[in-house]
Amino acid sequence: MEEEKTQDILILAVESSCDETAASVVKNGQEVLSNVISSQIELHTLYGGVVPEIASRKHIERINQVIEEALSKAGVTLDEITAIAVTYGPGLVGALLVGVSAAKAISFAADKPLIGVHHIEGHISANYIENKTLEPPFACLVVSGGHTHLVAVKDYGEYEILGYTRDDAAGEAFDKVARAIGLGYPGGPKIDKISREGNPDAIHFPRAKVDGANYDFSFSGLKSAVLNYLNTCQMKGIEINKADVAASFQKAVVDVLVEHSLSAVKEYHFEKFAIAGGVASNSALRTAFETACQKQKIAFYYPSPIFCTDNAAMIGVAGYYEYRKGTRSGFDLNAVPNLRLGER
Amino acid sequence: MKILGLDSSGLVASAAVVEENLTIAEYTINYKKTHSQTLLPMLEEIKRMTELDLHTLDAIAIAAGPGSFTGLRIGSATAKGLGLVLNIPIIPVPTVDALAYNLYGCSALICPIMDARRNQVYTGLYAFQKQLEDGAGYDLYTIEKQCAVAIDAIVEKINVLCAQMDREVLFLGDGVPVYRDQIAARIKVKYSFAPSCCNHQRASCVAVLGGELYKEGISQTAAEHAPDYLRLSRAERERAEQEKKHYDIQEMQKEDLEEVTALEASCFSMPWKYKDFEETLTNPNRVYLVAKTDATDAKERILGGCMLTNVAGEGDISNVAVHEKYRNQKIATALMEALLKLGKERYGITAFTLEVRSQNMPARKLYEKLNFVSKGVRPNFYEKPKDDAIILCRE
Repeated sequence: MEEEKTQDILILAVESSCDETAASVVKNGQEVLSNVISSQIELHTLYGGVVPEIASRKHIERINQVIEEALSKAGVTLDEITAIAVTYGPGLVGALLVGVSAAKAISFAADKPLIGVHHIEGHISANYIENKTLEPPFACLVVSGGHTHLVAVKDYGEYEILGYTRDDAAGEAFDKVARAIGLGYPGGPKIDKISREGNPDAIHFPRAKVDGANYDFSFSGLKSAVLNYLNTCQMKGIEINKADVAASFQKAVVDVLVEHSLSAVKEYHFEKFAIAGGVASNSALRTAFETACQKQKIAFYYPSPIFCTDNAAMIGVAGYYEYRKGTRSGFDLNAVPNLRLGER
Repeated sequence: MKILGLDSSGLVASAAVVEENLTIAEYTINYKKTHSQTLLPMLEEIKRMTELDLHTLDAIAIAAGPGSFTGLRIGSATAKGLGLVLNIPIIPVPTVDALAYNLYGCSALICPIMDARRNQVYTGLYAFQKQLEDGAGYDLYTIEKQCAVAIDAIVEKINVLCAQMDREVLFLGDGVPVYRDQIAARIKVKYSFAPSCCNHQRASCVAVLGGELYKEGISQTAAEHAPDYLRLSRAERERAEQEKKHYDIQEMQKEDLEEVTALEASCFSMPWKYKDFEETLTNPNRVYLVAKTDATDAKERILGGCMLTNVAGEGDISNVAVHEKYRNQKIATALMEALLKLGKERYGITAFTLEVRSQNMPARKLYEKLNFVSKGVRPNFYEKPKDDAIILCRE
């Protein structure tokens, strides 16, 4: 009898849920052979935020080049690919549809299995790339421009949402406040940068709690408080210190995120905690979590900035675990803009 | 040549495989499911039923627009994914042309209409013309290129054309149910609506017309292909509105020469060359005005331009051009007004003349508004295509 060889599993992953067209080849769920991201950020800067129709148009112009580059950088041919993974939600429906339609066609024509992947599942899985020792169970806070979720990762591909935002996502609040103090788009990195020169205790902004839901978040009150503060200053003719406002706002966000996350970790007895999503590359957030986790003797994980932003490598990792679980999608796979974590 | 045809531009999703004179399969559905849920499963069914080896396909013909933005992208992304794997070209077929092809050989004027929302339709006007050879087929002849206009505007055009050509008009497309009453109320010529067997998009028509286009050399790589929406996104449109006044009218500078030459080439069939414009810079009796934007993110800096030549105290106006993207924003009017003012101030000119193609209605309307009146016709003055020149004067 022929000896059975363990074959490498190569996932070609495609991501187009918002304003980055991305493709990646991931080997065995950990080794990122290529991670190509074509960002449209400059284009959307003109409009002060992501314009869905423009994002969709750009995706279709770039999608083939990005996928071809991912394959060639990885040095593999389509024949060698085991399966195709694609983000099918949540996100902007028009944007998602470009990646989903292209991935389905590739899967069909190349006769490779297709796996629809949840975008947030991807963000969480980004933590496996650089932390080879990280295994479920752990708790993960996903924070980005569109999402703020506190998630219990029970097993690969098995999730429970412990808390989520009732209104604005954390990243959204960053964008809005950045616009209000004239920093422009994208708000997250800009506030992070200017905050380093400001005093985080200069102004006390409220830390909101949601009654009866300890792990849920609310950022719209905080955003309003910042806008009110700016208005009041303007009426009184007081010159505002942008760096102080930014730093104080950022601290209010970080405080809430850290407090809620760590009390959940404690209550559910997790020994490991991770962050993910675009805002996870915020330096103040990282430092705060690092300190807090150390204090409570909890192992803390976070991805490099390149894997925090929307990328396809994370979809490839999540896709790998779904593949192993036997998840397969049909050619009728549709984009689901408000797809919930843990649902299919 | 074996061509896969795809159309998801409107309410209908359609896929077909056509080889030479044979439609091997065609699958069309008009159902509430999204194209994302139907198009590829339909293709899979075709593959299974006809034992199709995808690698025997030579090209993919796609209804490339106009149409629903999302629908177009589902079709395009599908075609691009297939093209990437199979390494075959994509033939972009104008959606409205392919719809007209449904009524091959029809003697009436053909007017496909698709609902484009915002009180507009995607439409065009077509006629089939018998090929010269005996027994040969018909050529699809485009009278009005596919466009997005108000239904009344196209009906108005039909009223004039049908009377001139002594033909009836036949409407088809998913815009018919929406605009039926409005058409009936405005149309003054004999008309009818195509029946349901041939009033919607069909991928076989896309594939067959695609084959014709391919012979004319029209094809793209899968990577290059993107839909032709015929419309900007709303955000872009609103931004253009805001920005349209963000230009200055000034005399052409040396640094503008390249862009002006490109603008000229994009607007005229027999354009002036670089050296002609270069000469203008040093000719004391010539001025070329440009509308120049200072928007840092604009792809073009020169939005339009026009030339004045002082011929012994009379002003000869020529080379009036506006970049295609920036038309209908009164840039030509602003340029002309500035040119007339400059002519008077610099050269003391009071009488201006210019020639315009008799077919160029937008330009003729503009000059009329600026008080130019017709002084005669120069028959066949223009080449490519041949046209009469109308001589216009303003005293």
